[in-house]
Amino acid sequence: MELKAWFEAEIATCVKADGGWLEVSSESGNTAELTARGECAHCAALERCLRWAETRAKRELGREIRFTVTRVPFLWRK
Amino acid sequence: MAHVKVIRRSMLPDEWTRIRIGWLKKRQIAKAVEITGWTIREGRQTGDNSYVMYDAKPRELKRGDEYFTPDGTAFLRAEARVPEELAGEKGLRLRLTTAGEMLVRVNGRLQGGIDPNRETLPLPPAEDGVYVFGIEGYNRSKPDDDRNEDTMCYKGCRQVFQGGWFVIPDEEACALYQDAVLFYDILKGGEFDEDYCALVSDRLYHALNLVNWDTGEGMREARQYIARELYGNRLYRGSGAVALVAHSHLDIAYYWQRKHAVQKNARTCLIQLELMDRYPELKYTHTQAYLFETLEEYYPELFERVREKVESGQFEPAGGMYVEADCNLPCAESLTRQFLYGQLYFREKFGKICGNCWLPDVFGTSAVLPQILKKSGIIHYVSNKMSTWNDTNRFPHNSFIWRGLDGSEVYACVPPTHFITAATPTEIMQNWNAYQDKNSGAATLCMYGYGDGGSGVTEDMLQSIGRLRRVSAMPELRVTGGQAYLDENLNETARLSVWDGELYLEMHRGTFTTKADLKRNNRQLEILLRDAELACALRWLQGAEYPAETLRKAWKKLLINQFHDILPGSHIHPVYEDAMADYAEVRKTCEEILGPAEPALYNTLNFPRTLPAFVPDAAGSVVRLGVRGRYVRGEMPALAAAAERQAGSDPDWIRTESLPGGRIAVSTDRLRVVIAPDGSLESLRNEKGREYTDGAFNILRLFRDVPGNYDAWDILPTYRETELPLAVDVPIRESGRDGETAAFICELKTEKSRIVRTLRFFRDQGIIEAEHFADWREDHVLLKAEFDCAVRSPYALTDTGAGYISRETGRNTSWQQARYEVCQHKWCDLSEPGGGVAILNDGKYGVGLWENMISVSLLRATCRPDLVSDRGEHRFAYLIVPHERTPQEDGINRMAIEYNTPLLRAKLPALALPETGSLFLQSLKQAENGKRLILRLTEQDGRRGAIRFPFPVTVTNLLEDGERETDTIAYGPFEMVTVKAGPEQIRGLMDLPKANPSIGE
Repeated sequence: MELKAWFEAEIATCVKADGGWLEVSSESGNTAELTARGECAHCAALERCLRWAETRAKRELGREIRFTVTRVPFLWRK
Repeated sequence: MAHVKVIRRSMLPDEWTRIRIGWLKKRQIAKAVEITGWTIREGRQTGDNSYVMYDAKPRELKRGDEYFTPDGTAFLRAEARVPEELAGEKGLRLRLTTAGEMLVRVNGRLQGGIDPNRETLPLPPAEDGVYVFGIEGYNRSKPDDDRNEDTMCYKGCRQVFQGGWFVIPDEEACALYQDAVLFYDILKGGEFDEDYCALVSDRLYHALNLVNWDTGEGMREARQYIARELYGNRLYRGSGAVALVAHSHLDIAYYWQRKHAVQKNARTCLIQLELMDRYPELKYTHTQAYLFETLEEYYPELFERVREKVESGQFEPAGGMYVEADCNLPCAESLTRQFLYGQLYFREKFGKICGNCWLPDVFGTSAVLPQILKKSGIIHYVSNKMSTWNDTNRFPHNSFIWRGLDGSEVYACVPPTHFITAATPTEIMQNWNAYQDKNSGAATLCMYGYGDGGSGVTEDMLQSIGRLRRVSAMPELRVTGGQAYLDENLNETARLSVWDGELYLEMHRGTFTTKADLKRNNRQLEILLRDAELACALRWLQGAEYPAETLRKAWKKLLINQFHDILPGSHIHPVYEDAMADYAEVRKTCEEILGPAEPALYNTLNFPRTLPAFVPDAAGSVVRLGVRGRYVRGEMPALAAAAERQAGSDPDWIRTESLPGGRIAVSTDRLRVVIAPDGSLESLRNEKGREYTDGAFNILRLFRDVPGNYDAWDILPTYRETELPLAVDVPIRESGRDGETAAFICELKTEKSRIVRTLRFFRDQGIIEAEHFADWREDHVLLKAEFDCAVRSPYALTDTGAGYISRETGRNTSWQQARYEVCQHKWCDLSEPGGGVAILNDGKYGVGLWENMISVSLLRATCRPDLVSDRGEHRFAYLIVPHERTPQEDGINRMAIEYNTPLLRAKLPALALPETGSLFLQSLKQAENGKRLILRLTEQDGRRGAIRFPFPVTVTNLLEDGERETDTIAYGPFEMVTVKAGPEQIRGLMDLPKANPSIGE
């Protein structure tokens, strides 16, 4: 299964139900860059969720993925 | 020489006191032994009480392990024997530090709750000293009102397990800690006398000097010192009286979905029950029949315990409503059903109805409510919102008489402070100091208990209250229940002021508009449910079954979604998805009840229709709001089948002329209009030449809409300062006509969004429909339709759903200025003698009315709490109605009802009601007892009159309790009349064969 689709179905959905927002913004080799919005954008424990997502990706996709993140806080503009 | 400020960099005495209170907090545990052998199974909640598990079987959980997952549920279990070193010790507790919300079973029994505000739980004696712990843990990223700094580092969707412990508290340290926290709060809260604070600072500092912080010795002496020097000091006297009412605000959905509220509620009830056993003085007030229903269904053991405490008077069901609904947006019948289903539930389960309407967090309240309250057995209304959240004017009363649209009066209480407090001395004192009705001689109301996500009172709060009664500088504290407070302090007390009309909240003005889909669906389903019930009632009279339970369930589903953080749009995205799924289900239920669409068309309104009615028809020549159909013309009498007449075939009823600049002049027998390229009207005249425009009219405008933290809630007064470009992509052009209608279309665009506007004209009608399709991709932008009218009037009218209110259009006072965005229902109108303009909408509730402008809010694009709120495709329409007389004389309200109520495609018998005058048949349904029929009629034009039935009927309240028998009912302006009649009597108004004797009484 494609990483982006898997992430949206299995991880992002759960995060959204807690007021957060994570989406895969790019993927290169074994690294996937995430964008964090909503409550995730200022969560002090976000790294723990990323490691959890990595563990699940390994178990469910059989892939060793490293997730990195860019935080986009509320009212942030490019 | 200039004054040079001296900055002290060394530690102040109060700082030293604060540090030592921190040490004291940690010393509250005398002995602790870790419980090992925890196992955990994690999963995710899928329904009210169902889960999918991530783990096939339980796994070991050790201190330091990560646990919980985003939106996760964790089931923890451990079995442990009390260790030798704790055996025989008094006060054994379980300690578990967490940012999650935990329901704890001990040896199979639901024992209590652990959460960020409650780290320990007293344990009951156990046989052989063996405890089996079963914990349901729910992880919410915004749990309750988290005040415990110690759990902040564990917060987040993934937490670190801190271990579970058997602990024995150090009672002396706990007591000293409570004393110290209390006086430190007095010292720092800024509400107490300066001299008194100086005394407290000095004595508290010295008390803590008596403790040896290495050994812990001296705590008793410190407490004795505080007892003598602070509790014993009577020189500083407080005045007044504050009633403390325990309550927990519980949002059914907000930063969590509705399914999560089931456990939040169970945990809240459990925590209060456990405290009631240990603190018999505690009285707790809990609202929302829906929450009691879920407790009864999923936690029957807890429900029985609640019922026992209700009987003993400690647990008080309150509020009367099915859920704490928004009270701006729902129609009058929805509000009625909130009380009908809520009060009947309370009566059935607890033997009595509620005497109050308890809405601490509601975003303002419509003027229709007092009448509904009075007729639902309620004489008290409570809401904290106006006192604590108004952004411009201080609401002038805390205790007053609230008079509604029809003149009904209830006692109202707007407590001076927030509905979530921890009963600290500062919060209580703030409440008394802010109380504006001290001269009433009554006590003020201060709610205490954590909330938003429930949980309520903590043991610390009860300890604090007990201690505060010994502090002479405090007002008198009265621990009481919600209804007892209202009965003792509002009824028959000193002369109360009267507030006449809407309780407008000067904040959260965006909630009339945010999440347009919810508003539109809610509007449509309120009408569809009315029609489905009406059809079922008529069929019941013909011998068919009445699907009472199916209809009740559908109504309840709609009512749940009128909760004050659902319908207003202030929630995370999954809550929106849940609501849309519920709406689809309610719609499907209604459609199934009504059956397949028939060729026959039925007018469910109790007055003849005058507007062309759009009917879906695959062979029709018109596409309206994405649906192909046709406009029906002909005779459409009240509560009878429509007799459709042949559509006109002459397309020349409308004439057009191209004007310079891409404008089009349009004329019919009723209107002469000049349309600008963007679909706005440069001129709008009736057949007599009366001009209705005075500037931009029917223009779409975009404004930058960045209200800050309360993104989904607020529109700021400055929103008009930044107008954004909206370009014409395809200028106005005629897009088609037939013998009845003609349409003109244009397309507007921004960099991200596209809006297609269709202006529709009707033969023989002096109205224009403006239909819109928006592919809406903006961020923080407000879309409005604005109308500069050639009307000079100090007042505009807005529909409340059951009558209208008049709103000032001037901007002289701060009260007028603060109302730059208000709530309307189906219409608003700006008129002067000789004419005016009404805008009839199909689901738009936010409107600005000032000077000669009507400014209807159409769409927002907020980012918090829902990042994708309102993004996507929208279809909506409104009707522009220029008229010559008053809106009442020109039937604007009826027109708006018509505009929102489609013809029913069903074969139903005609019902010849007696002359109903200006009454609207709001509901025709089977009575809740299943034996008779209920007719609810609402006066909506502000007139007096009488309705005469050809037989005696029973006049009832809104709970369908009979009050008197009569055949003639006089009614006043905006009065709601409910009558109960036998099926045989109503059958007499129908042209039908003889009744089925098995029906009804």
